[in-house]
Amino acid sequence: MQKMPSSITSSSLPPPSPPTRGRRRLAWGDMLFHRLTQGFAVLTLLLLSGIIVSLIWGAWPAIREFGVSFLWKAEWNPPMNRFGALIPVYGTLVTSAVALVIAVPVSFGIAFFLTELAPGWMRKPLGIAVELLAGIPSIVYGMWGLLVFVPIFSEYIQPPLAKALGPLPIIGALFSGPPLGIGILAAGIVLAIMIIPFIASVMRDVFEITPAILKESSYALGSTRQEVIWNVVLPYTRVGVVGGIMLGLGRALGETMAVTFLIGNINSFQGFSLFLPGNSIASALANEFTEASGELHTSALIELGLILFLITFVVLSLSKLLLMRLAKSGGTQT
Amino acid sequence: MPTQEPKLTTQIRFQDFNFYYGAFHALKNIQLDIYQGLVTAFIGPSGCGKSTLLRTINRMYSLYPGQRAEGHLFIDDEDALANDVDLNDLRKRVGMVFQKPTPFPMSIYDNIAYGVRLHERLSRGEMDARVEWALKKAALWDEVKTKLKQEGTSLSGGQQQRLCIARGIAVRPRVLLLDEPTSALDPISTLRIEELISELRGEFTIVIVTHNMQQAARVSDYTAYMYLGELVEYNKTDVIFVKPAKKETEDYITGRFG
Repeated sequence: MQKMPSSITSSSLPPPSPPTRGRRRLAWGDMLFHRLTQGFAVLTLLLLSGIIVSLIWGAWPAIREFGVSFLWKAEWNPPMNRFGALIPVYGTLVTSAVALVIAVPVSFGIAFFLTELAPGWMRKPLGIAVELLAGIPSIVYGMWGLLVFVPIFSEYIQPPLAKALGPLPIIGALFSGPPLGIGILAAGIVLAIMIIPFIASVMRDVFEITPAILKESSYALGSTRQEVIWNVVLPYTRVGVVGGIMLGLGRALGETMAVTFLIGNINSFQGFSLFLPGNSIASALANEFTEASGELHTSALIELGLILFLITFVVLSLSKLLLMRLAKSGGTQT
Repeated sequence: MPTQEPKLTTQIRFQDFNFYYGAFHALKNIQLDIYQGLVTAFIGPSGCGKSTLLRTINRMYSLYPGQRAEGHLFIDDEDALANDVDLNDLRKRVGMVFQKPTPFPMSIYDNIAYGVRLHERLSRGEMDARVEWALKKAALWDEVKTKLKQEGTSLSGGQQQRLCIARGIAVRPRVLLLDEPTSALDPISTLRIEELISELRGEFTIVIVTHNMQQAARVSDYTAYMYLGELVEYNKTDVIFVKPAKKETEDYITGRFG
């Protein structure tokens, strides 16, 4: 039985030519390439687990000392060696939320205009300009924010904002207090400017791949442009849109330099108003790491880093889960 | 006694109609009357302008800068080219189905209700009745009545195309434009669409663009043969296919050209 195939081959096909030197070298090169790329892929996995392990290792003294209560303790007192993550975690989440609340509608508007409304000659330059925003280094955003944006913000934007929104129930509490300029809101707004290019260009790209015939089908029923984008393009591209928002959120959560310049870096809870200064995980790390005194302080900072890592991980997983559910119920994907 | 010709009412009238893609003169001096309740087919080789002509009837070209029409297009005696024409209202009266099925990314029910919601406020019961009516008209009801909540994209290609026809019918247009509606379908689905066209005849004015001459012969009452942006010949389908007046038409019909 085992001989059968070879006998058939030998009878019906010309005998295989003996492998030449060149061919053998090719096979060997193939093998090398395979191993090399495989090595790179395995390397990322090793790096990922290595970083997680070293974070946990470094954070271990703080984890042992404070346990889970580290997460909800608002105290951050290096001289007394008492540390809690609540303030920076709160600052990180709230600045990112503010950034998303501003950036998502603006990015949607940009993408909508660029794909549906803008005249042809305008699309390319505007699109490139939006992408260039992404190329500005974050330290430049930070300096610009501190030196240019904050004075204007505290002088001309915060007072009217407090006047208009302050009296409202619930929301009003977010917009009360002294117009300091520096604070959670200022950091959130600059973060929004920083993530707009990412979200807008992803949205534009996915809007563009919506088949013209699908849009025409909606126009043919008598839809306006808004109805087409809202009822057809957005549902069709929802996976890509959510992906773009998550990309922006991931960046906002981890952004360090610009936030450090603008958030005020205060490690105690001042109140719920967005006008007040606070701290974020990334800026706490940037500010304190070099001058951390004692093992516990360093370890607490490393634990903060671990928490940031976990938050980003959870956000990414949630978005993947959301996308999977959408794909399941939808069937249409980008 | 000679057989009495039924009285024909013109629903769509092209008069001295010209169309341009930028500088390209795509339709030249078209004169054409399309009759109410009948099926009219546009045939001709690729690039002859038949789809372009169809797409002017619901002003689809207005979406694209650089495309413009000159002359007159009357729909129900209204000037459809006037600047103050409400395009959304025009497209409510003139439905369209495309070369490929284009179900929206939503449920079967919502695919049908979508267009209706744009123009009318119906109660739940009325909407249910309208969806059922449209799906029955499109001969799709029996196949989908138990799965109205499923995505439109879950249907087969032929079913999707009938869904698109139902979607167009649901807003109760007067005219239905079919732009090569069976070009992406298998022969059996094609046959079902053709049957459907015959059933809808009378109730709607149907204009169909087709590459398939047999299809034009099977489904249409009137046929327009177009070539290089000009309307070469327009007459009853029987006449066009049996005894065309012009040599070019005959050459195309008999397959000597095209």
